[in-house]
Amino acid sequence: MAKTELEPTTKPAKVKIRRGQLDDGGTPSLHGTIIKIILLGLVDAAALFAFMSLISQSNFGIAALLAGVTLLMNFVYLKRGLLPGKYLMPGLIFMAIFQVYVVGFSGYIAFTNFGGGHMSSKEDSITAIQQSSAFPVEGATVYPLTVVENAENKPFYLITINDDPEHLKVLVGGKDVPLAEVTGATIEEGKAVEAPGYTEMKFKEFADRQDEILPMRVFLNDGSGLFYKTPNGEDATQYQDKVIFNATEDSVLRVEDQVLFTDRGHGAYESADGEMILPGWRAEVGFDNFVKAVTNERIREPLLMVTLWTFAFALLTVFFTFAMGLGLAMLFNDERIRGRKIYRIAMVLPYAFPAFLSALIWQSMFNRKEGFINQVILGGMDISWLSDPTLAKVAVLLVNFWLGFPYMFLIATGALQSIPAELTESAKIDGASAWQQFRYVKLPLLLVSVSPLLIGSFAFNFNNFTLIYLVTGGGPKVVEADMNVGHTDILITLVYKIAFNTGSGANYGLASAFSILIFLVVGTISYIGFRRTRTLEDVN
Amino acid sequence: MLAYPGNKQKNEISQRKVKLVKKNMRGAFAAGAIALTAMLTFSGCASDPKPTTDVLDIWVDKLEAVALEGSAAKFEEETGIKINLVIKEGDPIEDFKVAGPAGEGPDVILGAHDKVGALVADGLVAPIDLGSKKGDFRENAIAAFTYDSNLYGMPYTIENIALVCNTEKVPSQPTWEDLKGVGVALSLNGGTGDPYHMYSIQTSFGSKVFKRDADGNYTSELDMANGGAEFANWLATEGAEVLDPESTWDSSVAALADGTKACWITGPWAQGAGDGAIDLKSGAYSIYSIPSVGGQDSVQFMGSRGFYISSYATDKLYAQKFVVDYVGTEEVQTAMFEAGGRIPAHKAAFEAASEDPIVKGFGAAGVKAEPMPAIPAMAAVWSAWGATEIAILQKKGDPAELWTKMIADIEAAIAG
Amino acid sequence: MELSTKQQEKQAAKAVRQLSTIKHMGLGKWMSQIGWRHVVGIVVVIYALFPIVYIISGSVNPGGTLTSGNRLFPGFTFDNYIALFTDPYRPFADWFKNTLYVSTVASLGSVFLSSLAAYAFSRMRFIGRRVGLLSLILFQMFPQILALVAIFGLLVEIGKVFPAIGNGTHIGLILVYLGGALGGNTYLMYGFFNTIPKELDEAAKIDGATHTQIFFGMILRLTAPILAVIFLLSFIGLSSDFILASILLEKPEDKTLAVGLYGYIADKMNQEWTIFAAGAVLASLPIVGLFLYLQKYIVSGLTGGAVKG
Repeated sequence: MAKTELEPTTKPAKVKIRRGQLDDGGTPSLHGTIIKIILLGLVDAAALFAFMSLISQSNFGIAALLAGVTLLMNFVYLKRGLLPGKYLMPGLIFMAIFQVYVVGFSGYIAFTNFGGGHMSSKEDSITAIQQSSAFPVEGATVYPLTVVENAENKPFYLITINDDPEHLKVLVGGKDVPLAEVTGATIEEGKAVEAPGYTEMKFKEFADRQDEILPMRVFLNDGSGLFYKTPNGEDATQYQDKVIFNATEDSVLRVEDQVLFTDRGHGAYESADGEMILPGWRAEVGFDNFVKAVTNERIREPLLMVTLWTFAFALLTVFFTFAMGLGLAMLFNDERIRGRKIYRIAMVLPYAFPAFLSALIWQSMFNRKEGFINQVILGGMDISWLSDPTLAKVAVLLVNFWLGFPYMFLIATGALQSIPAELTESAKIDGASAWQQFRYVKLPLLLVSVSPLLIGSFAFNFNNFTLIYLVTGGGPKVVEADMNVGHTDILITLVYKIAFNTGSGANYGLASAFSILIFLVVGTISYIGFRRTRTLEDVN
Repeated sequence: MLAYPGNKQKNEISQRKVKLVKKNMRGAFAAGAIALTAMLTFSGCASDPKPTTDVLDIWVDKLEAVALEGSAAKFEEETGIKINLVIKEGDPIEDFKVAGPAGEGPDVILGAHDKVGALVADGLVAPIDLGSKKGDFRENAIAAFTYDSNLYGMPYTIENIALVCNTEKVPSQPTWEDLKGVGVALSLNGGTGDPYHMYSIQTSFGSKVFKRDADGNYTSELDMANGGAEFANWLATEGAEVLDPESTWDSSVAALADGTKACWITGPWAQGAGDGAIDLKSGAYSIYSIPSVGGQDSVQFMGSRGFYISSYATDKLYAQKFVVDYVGTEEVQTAMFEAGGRIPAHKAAFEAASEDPIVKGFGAAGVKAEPMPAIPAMAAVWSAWGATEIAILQKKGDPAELWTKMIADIEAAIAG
Repeated sequence: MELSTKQQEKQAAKAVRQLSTIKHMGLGKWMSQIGWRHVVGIVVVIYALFPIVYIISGSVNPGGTLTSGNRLFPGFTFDNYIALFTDPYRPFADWFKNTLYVSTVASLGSVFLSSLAAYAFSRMRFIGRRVGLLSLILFQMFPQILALVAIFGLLVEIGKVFPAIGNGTHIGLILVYLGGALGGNTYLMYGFFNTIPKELDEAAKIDGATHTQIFFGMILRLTAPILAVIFLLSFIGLSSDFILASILLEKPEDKTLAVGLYGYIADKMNQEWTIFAAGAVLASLPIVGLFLYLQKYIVSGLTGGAVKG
C-alpha cells in the first residue's frame, strides 16, 4: 500500500476483479441495514399519511406522483445495487420538489396570463366581481336594520324607514323576495326588531351564516334595480349594481351601457371590442407571452447593449473575484507570514455581513458630493461615480468584487489545502520555480476542482438582480434609448422593468416567458463553455 | 489507518448473495411495519386543520401595532375574537398578492391608498361600508380610497408635502423668487430620482400625471405633455442650479440643519430628522405652502393610509366590525395620531390635533393636494419618470426631447 | 508510527523557521519573500474592512444615521445594542436563535445531501451521469423571478397535509433550503472528490470495504477541509437569506435575523440605521466564530496527513 500513497499519481498494479463484485458495493453491515430500514420506514409512513390526506382532499394527481416516487425510493433502497440511485435519491427528491418545481412552474406560468388583474381562479374572480358590483347610491340614507329569519330559517332584512320618526315604516324582504311593508312589528328604541312570522336572528348565528347573508341583495319592489345591503347586520342602505352576472350564460352585463362581457378564453369577461372586466382569472394563453416578448419593440433597441454588459459584468466578476481570492489564499498560505489568522478573518468579514446592507452602504459611499470615497479616500474629489456611464459600471463591479472575493478566498484556501504537499515538493525538487509550480502543478489541479464552481458563479452573477437594483437601480439612464434603460442594467433588471411595471402591475406570465428566453441564452452559452473547458471530464 | 472489515474469501460471495436476497425481503417487511406504526402516530398528531375564525390577522407596521393594541384587547374581551397584529416588513402588499389567493393572507391589511386600483383589479380587497360613519372622515381621504364608485379602505392618516424653512431666514410664506439665493433642498434618492417630491414643481407648469374624466376619476391617459417641455427646460436650467441630482435624505437634513440651505421640500416624516435637529414643533422651522415655480397652481400628491379588508378574510363581518366600530372612533384615531404623529384622516381627531404645528402646517400646505392616482397604470410611471428627471438635471440631452421620449416610453409600458 | 514522527518533525521545523526567519534572511530578503505579502495583505484588508468599520461606527453612533459627515465614530454609545434586546415587538434574541437553528440544520443537511450526490457523480459511472451533472448547474442558472410565488404556493399545499412542515414553520423553510443543496455545493464537492485518487477507493474495495464505508470512512474524512468550507459557505448564504424567509415566516418570534433586522430600515420615512447596524454586527459574530472554529479544518492541512494514512 505504501507505494500508492506516496505517489498517488501512478497507477497501482491492476488487480483483476469481476466488475459486478465491486459495483454492488460490498457487504452491507448489519447496523447500517437497520438504520436504513428504520429511515425508509419513517419516510414511507410520512408518504402514506400524505397520500391518504391527498386522496381525502381529492388531489389525485399529486397523490399518484407521491406514490410513484415513494415506490421508486423503496425499490432503489431495497434492491441490491443501483448505487448511484441510492446516493442521488435524497438530494434529487429535494431538488425535484423545490427547484425543478420552480422551473416547471415558471415554464407553465409563461403560457398563462398570471399577473396583475389575473391573480386567482375564475371562481374567485366571479365572487369579487359580484362583490364590488354593488355600490351605494349616492346620498342614500342609512336605515336601521335587523336580520330576521322566517319559520324556514331563511334570512330576511327588517328595515325601519325612519325618515319621519313619528311614523316609522317597516319593510321586510329577502333573497328573491322584494321588500314589502309589514305591520305589527315590534319596535325597540326606534328600530324594528321583530315582525309577525319573523324572529330576530342572534348575532352569533348571523356571523356564522355571514357568507350567505352579507352578499344578499334585497330589491326594492319597484323594478328600479335598487336594493338594500347591510355591511354589519345593524343598518342598511340603498345600493345598485354596476354589472349583472349571469351564471347560466357565463356572462356579465354592464348595467350602464348594456355591454355584454363573455369568457373569450383570455382569462376575463371580455366585450366584443376587447374590453375586460377585472379581476379576471388565471388562464392559459398559449404562446402569447413569448410572442409579446419577442416582438416587444421597446426591448429590442437596448437588448444587444444590455446583453453584452450582462456578460461582461458576470465574466469580469468571476475572473477578478477568483483571481483575487486565489491570489490572497496563496499569499497567506505561506507559513512564515505572521498574523495569518487575522488576515484570514479580515478577508472573510465582508462575507459575514448581509449583502444587501453592504450594497446600500457602498451606494452611499459612492455619492458624488457627500460620499466617503470622494470626500475622504480621494480627498474631496468631484467624481460622479453613479451618473457617469463608465464609472457606474466600475462602481458596480467594485462592489461586486468586494462582495464576492471572500467566497473565492475561502474556496481557494480550502482547495489549496487539498493539493497534496508531495506534488509541489516533488516539483520543487525537480527545480521548478514558484511560478512554474503554480502554473503547472497547482493551477491545473485547482481548476479541476473549482471550474464548475466558476461557471456556477457566472450563472449567479448573470442574474444578480439584487446588486444592480440596490447600487445603481440600473442607472444612469441611456438617454439615446427610447426605453427607460440604464447603463448598468443587466438582462434580469431589464426584464423586471418591462414585466413588472406594466399598466396592470406585474405581468408574471410575461416575466416567465422572458426568463425562459434568458435561460435559453445563458444555458446554451454555459453548455458550450462546459464542453470547451471539459470540466465534466474526469481527471482520474 | 482506516479500518475496513476485511473478508476476502471469494467462495463466500455466492452465499452472501443468497443471504442478501432474504435480507432484502425481511427489510421490506420491517420497513413496512415501521411505516405502519409511524403512520398511525402521524395521523394522531396532525389533527384536521380547523378554520380559525376566532382569530383575525392584521398586517401592520410597528407604529400601527403599538397604536392598535388597546383596541385589539378590547375587541377580544368583548367578542372573544383574538386580533393578531402581525408586523410585516418589506412590501406587505406584494406579499399579500401572493398569500391572499393561497388562503394565507391577512383578514385586514394596512396600506397606502395608491394600491387600491391594483388590489381591486386583483380581486384582493372587499368594499368597506362605513355606513353613517363615512361623514366622520375627511372627504379627500375617502376620495382617495374610493375606486370605481366603491370605498375600499378606512383611512386613518393623510399626508402631503410642504416647504419647511428655517424661520429666521424665511419668516413668512415665500414666493419662488424669494427662495432664489437662500437654497432649497429636495432629496432625489442619491440619483434615482423622486418624481413624488418633484411633482409640486412639475404641476406648476401645468403638467400632471394622468388626465381625469368628467367625473374627476383618473384615466390611464397621460397628461404629462401639457407644459412638460417647459418643466423639462426649467429642470435643465434653473433646476440644475438649485437641485443636486445626487442629493439624499441625509444630505438634505444636513443642509437644512447646518444652514447651507434655508428650505426643504419634504413631508411630516421629516420631524425629528438629523437626530432631532429638525424639530418642526420648536418654532425654529416654519411650514409653508410650496410656491409655484412655473406660474400655475402648485398641486402636490396627497397620500392616505388606511385599513383594507381582504376578499379572502375568514370572517369579513368581524373584520369590518373591528375596523369600523373599534378603530374608526375619534378616541382610537386620536390614539393612532399620538402613537405615530401621523396626521389624522378622522375629522374630529384632526380637529383635536389641529393645534399641533405639524398637523396645522402640513394641513394648510396641502389644501390643493390631489389624491395620488390609484389606478393600476400608476405602477408603470415611476421608474422612467424619475430616471428622466435625473438625466435632465444632469444635462444629459435635450430636455424637451427626453421628456417626450419618456412619455412615449411610459405609454408603451402602460399598454404592456 | 511513521506518521506521528513525521508530523512532529514538521511542526518543530515550522517553529524554528518562524522564529528565525527575519534574523536569517536579512531585511531585504525578508521584504522580497514575506514583507510584500504583508503590504498586499494590508491593502486588501483596508479594502475589505472599511465599509465594515463604517457599519461598526454606525452601530455605536448615538444619532440615527450611519454616514453623517463622513466622520467615523462621531460618538460612542451602546444604546443601539441595548435597543435590540429591549423592543417587545422585535425579539432580536429569538431571531438570533432561529437563525442559528435554521442555518445550522439546513447547512448540515445540505452538506450531507450534496456530498452523497457528489460521491455518486465522482465515483460511479451510470447512464445519465453527464446529463445529470449538467442539469444540476443549468438549474442554477434559471432566473428565479417567480421562485417566491411558486415556493409559497407549494408550502401552503404541503402545510395542508403536514401543518408541521408547511408555510410559516422553520422546518418548512429548512426543507426549501435543502432544495438548493444539490446546486453549487455538489459541484464544489464533485470537483474535490475528483482530486482524490481513485486508486484509494479501489484499494479499499479490494480490502472488502463497502461503498458506505468508503464514503463515510474515507472520502468524507479526506475532504474534511472542503466540507468545512462548504458548511461555512452554506451557513453564511442561508443566514443572510431575506427573500424566502421573509415570505415564509410570519410571526415576529419566528423570524430570522435578516428578515427581522430589515424591519428597522423598511419604513423609508423612519429608518433606524444605527440599530440595524448594531444588529448586523451581532449577526456577523456567529459567522466569524464559526470561521475561527472551522479554520483549523480549513487550513490545517488535514488532507495531506490523511492521504499519508
